Amino acid sequence: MTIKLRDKILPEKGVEELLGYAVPTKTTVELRGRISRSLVEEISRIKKEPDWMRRLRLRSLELFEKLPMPNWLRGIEELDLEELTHYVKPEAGIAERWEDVPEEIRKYYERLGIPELEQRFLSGLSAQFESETVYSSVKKKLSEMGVIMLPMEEAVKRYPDLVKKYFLRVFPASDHKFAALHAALWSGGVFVYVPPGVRVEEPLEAFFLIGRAMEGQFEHTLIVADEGSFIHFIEGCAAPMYKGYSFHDGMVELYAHKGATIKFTTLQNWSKNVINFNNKRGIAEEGARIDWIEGSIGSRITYVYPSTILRGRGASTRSMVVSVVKGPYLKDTGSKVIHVAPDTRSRIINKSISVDGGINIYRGLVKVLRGARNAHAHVECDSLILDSKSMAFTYPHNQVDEPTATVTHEATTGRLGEEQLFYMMSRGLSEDEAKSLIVLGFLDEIMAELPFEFANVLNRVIQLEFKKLGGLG
Amino acid sequence: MAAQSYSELLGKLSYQRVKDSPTVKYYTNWNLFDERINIGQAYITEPLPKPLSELNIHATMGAGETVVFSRHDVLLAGIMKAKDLPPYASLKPFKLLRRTESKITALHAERWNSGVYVNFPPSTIIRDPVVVASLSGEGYIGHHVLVEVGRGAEARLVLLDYSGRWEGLKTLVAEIRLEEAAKLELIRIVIHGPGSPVYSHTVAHLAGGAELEVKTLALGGAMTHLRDDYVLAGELGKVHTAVSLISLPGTRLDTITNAAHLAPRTSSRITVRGAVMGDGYLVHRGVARVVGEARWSATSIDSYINVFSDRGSGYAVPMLEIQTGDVEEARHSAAVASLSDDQLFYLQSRGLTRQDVEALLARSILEYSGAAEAAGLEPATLLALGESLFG
Repeated sequence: MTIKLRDKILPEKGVEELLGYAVPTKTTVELRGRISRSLVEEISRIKKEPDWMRRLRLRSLELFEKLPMPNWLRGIEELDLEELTHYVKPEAGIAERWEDVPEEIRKYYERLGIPELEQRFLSGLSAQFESETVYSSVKKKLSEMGVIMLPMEEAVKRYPDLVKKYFLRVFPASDHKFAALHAALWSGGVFVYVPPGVRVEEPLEAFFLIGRAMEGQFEHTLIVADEGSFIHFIEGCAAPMYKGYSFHDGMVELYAHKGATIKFTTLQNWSKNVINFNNKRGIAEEGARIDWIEGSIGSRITYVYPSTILRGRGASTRSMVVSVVKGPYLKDTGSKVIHVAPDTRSRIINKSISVDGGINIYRGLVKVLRGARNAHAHVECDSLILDSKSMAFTYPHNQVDEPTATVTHEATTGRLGEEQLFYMMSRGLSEDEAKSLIVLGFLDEIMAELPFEFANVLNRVIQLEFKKLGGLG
Repeated sequence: MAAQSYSELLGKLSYQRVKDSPTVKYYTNWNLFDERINIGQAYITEPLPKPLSELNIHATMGAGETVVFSRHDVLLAGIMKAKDLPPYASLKPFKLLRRTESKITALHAERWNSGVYVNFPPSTIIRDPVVVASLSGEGYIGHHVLVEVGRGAEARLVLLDYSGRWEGLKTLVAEIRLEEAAKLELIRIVIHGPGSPVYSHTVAHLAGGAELEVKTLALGGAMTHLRDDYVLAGELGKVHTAVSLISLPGTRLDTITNAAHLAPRTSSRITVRGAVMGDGYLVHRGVARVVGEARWSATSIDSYINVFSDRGSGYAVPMLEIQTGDVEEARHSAAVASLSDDQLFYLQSRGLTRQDVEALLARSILEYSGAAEAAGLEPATLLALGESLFG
């Protein structure tokens, strides 16, 4: 059954091909042009937001105007924020049944098999198209346990005190220019609250689609896991093919209270039209755990650095990132951990594959503050370069201000081993099959962390990306 | 450079190019340099203390002209500016390093006051090392060292980089060129006191088949920026560097070891051991860059820093920039740690105290590079000299 489902989710086509070319969809509002106070106020007015949120947006806009363009970014020269459409409201409202989602939008999700995935494996699903949520549904059982999963705008109105406590508190808008831009223009995304002691065993998912060129998408995801709770949240993203580019500047904030666990999985499969800037940060209190798992496959350019602040004693985190770049594209990724409290633990595993002129950059940070006694951190960073024109860069920063801490770091950059290939070919595999197996073996440690169905999806996506390496399936 | 254009240039340049990436920050406290950028030239040289002064030194650079004791087997000359170079010298100042690379290199280019030119003739084998000393003084001191190792020559060079208690600012730039199949063992003893922030930059350019072995022992000062750039420009070039770093209480030592592989089958191996005492601050950074043309090259950076005190900081930043899949080896590893409780318990159960263990570890780090031994110096005496400067 799994194989059949997997084939349905991802037949022998790449995600871009699967979604095909963008088709026009009906919208009611489109805001484009200069990013100004009136634009921000207009978004706030359309969303009928409370005044505190409007003021938060305007403060963020001021920060955006003041903060300099980060001078370490490579490849964003073509990004002209002024020519983007910053807010697109689809004509459709938020549906609770797929039948109520307009056909032209629903087809995109159906081609990706999202409704079927929801039915079989998920506790809840939120689907966003352009700037707004078009579908949101949570299984009854979860609602009965007190779990809240709502489009972010709804949560702002219905649970203002709860949202206010965390919103932009984990990832302040002042961090950098694009965080401030996001905070000024955010639209869509999901708010999740898990009450104390509640375990959400089946994952929740949010899926984001950008359906047109020259559009900015700024969704905001905020997950709060109260004491002793557990949640696995999956976000997926994709875009059909179109001419020009679009821009994604999303944000994810996670807050794990005492003893809580948040597992956050991302399967990023934007089309090659998308410049993807994603701001991800979590805070873990005493004994809490935050796990980031990231399969970064698509996009033209990606900048993403899942980060965790280990604020409570005994808190821990693990960040596992797979980054694949095939073709003349760039991924600037990396994980960051700040150890603030004693007895905290972190592990970063980063695997990148560059092929056909692809460039992977790892930019990581492990910082142990004074007082984080007996903190332990380990970083592994492996890069595979499959041809002579591809590249991999590794920039790890290990900053230790606490003498009882131990921080270790290992990194390798290499190519497919001739000896490995020879061994496998001597066992009867073709060269292409052997190469394909080695690539998947290289990623195995991370694949093992994904739910089975999603590991299959990622596995297939990678095979499709590397199909010239072999026809494994 | 006219005075006006020099000040204009300083205004335009920054101390380091990239500063605000999500993780990069200023590891060097450039403010200390900036505060003294217009300081007057030093006129008196601070004396070289024992045991460094007991070495057989061939060239001494201080506040005035370079004092040179000539040797029959090596071409040695004191220089004040490029025009002082002997006619046979093909390596001119700033041939391997751009003047405008940063604000501090521009400062050095404009104001350096003395230097030395060393030429190891082709095919000579020189076992007795040439010893060059760079001292400091009250005020600004800038020294420039040019080294040419001829085709097939084998040579040894000891560079003493000393800066004591006198307040000032010091820059030391060494440009080293190794011709085809040349071999150089560079032994560097760096001892800096609390008086001056010091910018020390060595650039080595290796032609085909050349080999450079660098042994460095550095005891950091108030603010020491110690940077090495190795350019492997010819096929089969090889560089191996071993570094011992000690950050004493009250010191800040930022070391950078970069290797650029520009030609096929080149190799670089950078190994660093560091110790942080008291509230010392120690950074080791290194970039190994392998460009597309440097196929089948190998590079590795190992950086291990021990922090011995509750107030110390140790930072390790080993970076790789690999621009081809045809790479023989590219790896780095780093660790910043203190003695673990388990290790300590084991050693204490063998009769050692914590102080014994730390002293042993510090000594092993001090001896790791082999620099002191190669220069004919006792590592523990050098440590005592460094400590006395901050006592």
